[in-house]
Amino acid sequence: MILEDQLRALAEAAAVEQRPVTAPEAMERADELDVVQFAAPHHRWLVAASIVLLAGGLVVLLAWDRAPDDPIPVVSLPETNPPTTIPTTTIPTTTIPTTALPATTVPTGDSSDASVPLASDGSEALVNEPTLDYRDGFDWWVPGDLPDGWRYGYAAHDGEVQTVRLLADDRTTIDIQSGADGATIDDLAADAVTEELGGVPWQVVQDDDGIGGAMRVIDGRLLAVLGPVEPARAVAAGLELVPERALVRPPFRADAEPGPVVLTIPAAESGGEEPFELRAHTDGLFTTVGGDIKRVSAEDPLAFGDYAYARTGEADSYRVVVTGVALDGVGPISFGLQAGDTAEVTPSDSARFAEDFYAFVIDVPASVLDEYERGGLQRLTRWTFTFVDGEQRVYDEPGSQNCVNCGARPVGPSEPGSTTPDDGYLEPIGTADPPPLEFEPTNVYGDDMWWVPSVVPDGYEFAYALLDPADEGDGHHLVYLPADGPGSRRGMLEVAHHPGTGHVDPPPDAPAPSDEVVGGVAWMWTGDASYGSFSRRTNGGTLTVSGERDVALVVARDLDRVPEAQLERPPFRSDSSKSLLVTELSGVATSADIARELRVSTDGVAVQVDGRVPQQVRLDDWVTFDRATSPSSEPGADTGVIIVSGMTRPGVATLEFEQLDGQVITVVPEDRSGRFGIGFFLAAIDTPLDGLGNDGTYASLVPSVTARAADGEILAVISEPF
Amino acid sequence: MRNVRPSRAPVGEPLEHGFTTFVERHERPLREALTAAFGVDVGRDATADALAHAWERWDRVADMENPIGYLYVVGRNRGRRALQQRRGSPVRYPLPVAGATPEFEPALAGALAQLSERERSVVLLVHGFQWTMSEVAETLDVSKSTVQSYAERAIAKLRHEMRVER
Repeated sequence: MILEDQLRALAEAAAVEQRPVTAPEAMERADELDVVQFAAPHHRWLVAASIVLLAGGLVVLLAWDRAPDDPIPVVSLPETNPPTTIPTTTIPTTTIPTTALPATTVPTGDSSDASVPLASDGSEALVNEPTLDYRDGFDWWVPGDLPDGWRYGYAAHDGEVQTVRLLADDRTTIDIQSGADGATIDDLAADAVTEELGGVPWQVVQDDDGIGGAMRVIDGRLLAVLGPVEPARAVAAGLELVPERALVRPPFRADAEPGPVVLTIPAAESGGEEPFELRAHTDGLFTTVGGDIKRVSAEDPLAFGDYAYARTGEADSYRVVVTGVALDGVGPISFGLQAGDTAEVTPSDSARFAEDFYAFVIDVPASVLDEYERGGLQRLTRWTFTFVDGEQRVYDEPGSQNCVNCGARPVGPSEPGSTTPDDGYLEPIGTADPPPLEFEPTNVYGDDMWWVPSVVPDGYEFAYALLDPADEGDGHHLVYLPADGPGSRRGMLEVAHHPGTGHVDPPPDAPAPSDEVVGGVAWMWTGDASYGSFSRRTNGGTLTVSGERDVALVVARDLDRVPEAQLERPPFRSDSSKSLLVTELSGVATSADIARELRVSTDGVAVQVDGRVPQQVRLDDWVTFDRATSPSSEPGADTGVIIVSGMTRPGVATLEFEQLDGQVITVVPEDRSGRFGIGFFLAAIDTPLDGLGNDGTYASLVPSVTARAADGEILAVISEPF
Repeated sequence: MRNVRPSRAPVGEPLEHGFTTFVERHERPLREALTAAFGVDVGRDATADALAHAWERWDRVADMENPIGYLYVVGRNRGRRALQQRRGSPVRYPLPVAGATPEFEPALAGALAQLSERERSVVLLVHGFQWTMSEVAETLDVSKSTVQSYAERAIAKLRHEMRVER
């Protein structure tokens, strides 16, 4: 019985056994989940809070009703949205306890006794109550009309400069700045062109990419519209001056009362003399974290805030505090240092805003940080954020928002494939031109005679030949693969000859074989109408042609018997004298019987590792995994070790294997034989033994593997390769 | 989790009708993908959880270009958690019907359970449910060459485990 047919039959049996999930069932299940959620004590106060808001919060409800991406008119709702001021003394803070905490772990604070309601507005973003206030005596320049594709963002008053930020869907921004340094216009004057916009002369500058702006001086203050020049011209032409209370939301301002504390790290934990307090405030859509204005959206559910560090008492390391804001429901988030230290943090409920906030502390050796600050290191850290829905994002530096893998990998919490690379200046992973492969055949031709197709069927190409040791002599395998690549729906074609008669008998429960005359010779067909194998006896054994029936039929009809030297490339053979030692395992102290060296051979195209099925190192993969062994362990041990082996393309300097315990094992691929243009690796991965077995408790023994170039650049991140 | 109800629906189309149409179209491939990964019991439960998740966030899911990819990740996480809670209980696949001529060997279910989650997902989707490599790659968010690699590896392991030649 052909295995593929059995799989199809099993799948059909599964479909018969299962009842489809209907829409009413899904909706009912959603209701059940809600009941479960609200039954939890943590959420009971939320229900009460919602009732209070329904009774009295007309203004807030109006804000909830607004979809997060709807334009927010800056000037059209004067006096209808008075600011909501909540004394900060009533706002509970979230304190992170210090007890039993390693330096890299910050647990979620418990805010279930919060007395201030947390709104549930149903929108992706974000915040429900402005905490800043309007001030009299300030006027703001705002657009009369917005260019197509633009919407209002936020207003900010930073010292002397007032900014109204406009946003476009592609993350481009236009800033309308009033009070900017007058020297700016002088610096740019040489390149500026005077244009009349809206009946007023402006100085317009732009670079080769069309970025620049329009500027003019009014009453000694510089008014500038900065961004893409074309829409900036349109904005400049229609600017209007309005009082601050005409803004729909109050501006962020640098001299405002600090926002409420949303998270606290005690001094002993943060490494400072005073507790580290994270404060935040909001204008209703945007939040400031550590002084930076952030907006968290469905497409970007995580935003770094600020980070700071302080030298610890021993002065040999720095304790870094990284803060950020996350969309409600994001997390837990795991992170790791370049050196491999990892920890996990869950964004904590601030009890005030719809967003969650997080902070973690981690120790960085002073020597590493000093080197980084001197410019000797391109990257200090690697922060890998794994979201609850499985998305994994890698940042090379906190605060940079430089997600190095977002451009290449679909992301989880939002729609796969929908995320725009943050800054776009890093190449997406895996898109660099792969270097050439340089294989050198290590096998030699022997004296065997081989059955080969007289003509290779259309659409197929030779893959490899293999000598398979059997009880009665070597079996011969010639493997041909579809020429249209790995995604082909056609199966492989194999011509095999085995000594003896053991391979002519089909399994007892297989479909009855049929005798057919092909090319004047009697063959036996085993399989279905489309896939199977032709077999017949020969003088020395059994000849089999397996594959798509129409292809196998053509091949079986016209086979030749030729000397091995006429094969396109030498066969792989199970003979250690024909393979080369390429790498050895080191640093593993165990008496368990594990593979400690790796031997490979090649026919010039495919590579065979330790006698197993040959593989081609494909052009689109930086790493080709060969196998992971079953765990081996000392008697009575709780943990074991698996051995992972494989190949890397030229250019891969290190491989970082993430273990289930969070530790990272770094392996340097090598080729001790000096014969191949690729690297080989043999890695020992620690793994717990409890929960192993057939129950799938651990979906993967290796959560991720990161391939890096010599300069630290990430070439590929492979999730769950085993 | 917020008690959120969908706020948007296609113009002229009731919310429930839109969701029902969505389920009719996408439930089967989602269930097949999760069944391949987690077996018939957990796979179906994970499918129901993922679709419930879709209903809770219908305003987002309705507009997605690849909702199955998104919901597969949701369901996969639910499936993994379910398996973690059932320590010692293997991933269950169907056995041949007793008394009837078996179309697959009884050992196949156990051999599948020996594979890694991704191996059994790929091999069952490709060879069992007859998905194309491209469909599997898109749903599992891997390259087609990776799918091919996993399929080949899984077939080799199954053959070894079941002691069949092909």
